[in-house]
Amino acid sequence: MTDRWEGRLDPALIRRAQDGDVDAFTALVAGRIDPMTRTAMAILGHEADARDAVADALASIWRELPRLRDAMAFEAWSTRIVVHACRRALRRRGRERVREVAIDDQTGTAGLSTPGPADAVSGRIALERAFERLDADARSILVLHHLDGRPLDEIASVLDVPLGTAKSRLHAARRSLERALEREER
Amino acid sequence: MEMPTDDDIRAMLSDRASRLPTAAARAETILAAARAHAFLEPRSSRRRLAGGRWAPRVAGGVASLAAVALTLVVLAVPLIGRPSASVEPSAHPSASAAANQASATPAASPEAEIGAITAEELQALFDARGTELVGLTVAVDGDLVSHPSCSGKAACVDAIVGGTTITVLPVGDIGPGPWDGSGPISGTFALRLVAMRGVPQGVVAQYLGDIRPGPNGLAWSLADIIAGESRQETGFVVARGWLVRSPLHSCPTSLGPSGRLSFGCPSDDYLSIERFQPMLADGSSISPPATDALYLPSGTYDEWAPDPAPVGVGVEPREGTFLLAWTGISPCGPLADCAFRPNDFRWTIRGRLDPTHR
Repeated sequence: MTDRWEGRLDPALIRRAQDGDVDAFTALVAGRIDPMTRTAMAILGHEADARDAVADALASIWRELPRLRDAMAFEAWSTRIVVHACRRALRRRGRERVREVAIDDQTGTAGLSTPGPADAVSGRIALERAFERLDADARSILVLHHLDGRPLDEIASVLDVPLGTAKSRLHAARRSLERALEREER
Repeated sequence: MEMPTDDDIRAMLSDRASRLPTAAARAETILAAARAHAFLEPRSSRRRLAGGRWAPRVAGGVASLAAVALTLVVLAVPLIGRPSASVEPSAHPSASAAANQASATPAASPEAEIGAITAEELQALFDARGTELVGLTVAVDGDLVSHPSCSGKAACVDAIVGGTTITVLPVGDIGPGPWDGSGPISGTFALRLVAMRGVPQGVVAQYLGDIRPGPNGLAWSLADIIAGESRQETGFVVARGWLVRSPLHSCPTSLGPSGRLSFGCPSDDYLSIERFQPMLADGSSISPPATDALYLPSGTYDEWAPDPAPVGVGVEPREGTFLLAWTGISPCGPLADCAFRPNDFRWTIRGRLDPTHR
């Protein structure tokens, strides 16, 4: 589970940041960058994209902070902004050239030993490839649940959806991953 | 086929999340990027709903935003420390001697001294050093061939470096290279070495893209790059030079849409053939490089310079060997969908070739 901020939020610090106090803003976000980047990296799988997404998110947080009504909602709100930044990054990436190919040729591998426990490696790679077939929403909810270890009510808060919707989205994302894995291993 | 367990998914996501350079390099880079954004888009004046007060516009605009930038960077250093040894002044092995001496040598090393390693050399590195290699980016001459685990599968893009047991993964889901599934491909590849549990030596290679070699070796001269000789739509070219950054400038409060790379604000960044100091005697301006230099997005120095010097009125130039990409810079920001125009293409640095020697 990633480090989160529960119990360490200082509402006065947030209010100062909302009022344009750059020292307060810096203090607010400095310790948050690593977990933000970790979340973005898991969703996007691409270092440069993850860095850009977090930088976008930080700029948005600075810009939009005066709109935040409930200071105690800052953690969920800022995570939502990171997730939105990742969604935009995936959308941009979707406009780029995507190459999905079949490889049957084994030329050049003759005589090589299969690297390590082949099945485990193959399964591990296939699972990641399957994850990369998922859309941004499915990726995000799986990351929030399985990597960040957030309970469903917290995920609902981050995604700004009702609890039931979060539950059904998580279930659907899990099913999508399984179907993608089936296609990956076909 | 077995369905993945929660532990399988958690382990896979944890591996993805951990494929980053050191926390120090990461946080500084991101803070620098955020700083550039902050300069581009000042906080707008909006009614603050909580408490019913009006949120004040950032007083002084430019001055306050400059303070954001400085504070972010200065605070980041004590919080996260300096980069680890893996990001020390670096170069490709064959150019390592020059790269590891941050001397006052007036010109960058000759391009001919920079070369790629072979697949056999890469395998030897894996066998000898394993996870010590994590974080390095290398240029490898060789073949990419289908991974043995792909046997019999219709859709499988996983590969190994031909003649080795080194697994190669595409980056993200956009595989930038020429892998079309018709068989092995040969060439020079940029590979980044990352950790993965359950594979030999605990390390795999991420395929970043193809490298187009220069006319006299792996690297291009900066003069040729500036002249457009090396331009291509995909993949990388390699160049060696000095990364330099000007003092921070005061910037207009609104320069353009969010998400567009900024050139010249808040700093001028160059990759130069010359080790020049971009600070005039008055400490407030920049003297453009006297010789060939590539103008790069603001923040490039912070992101890619080996052991970047802290922010200040003049920062130390840093020499390195870099992967350059010819890239479209969105003219409309991340929320808009609009076509790139000819002037929206620029050179950016996408990686640094690191030393593979101890």
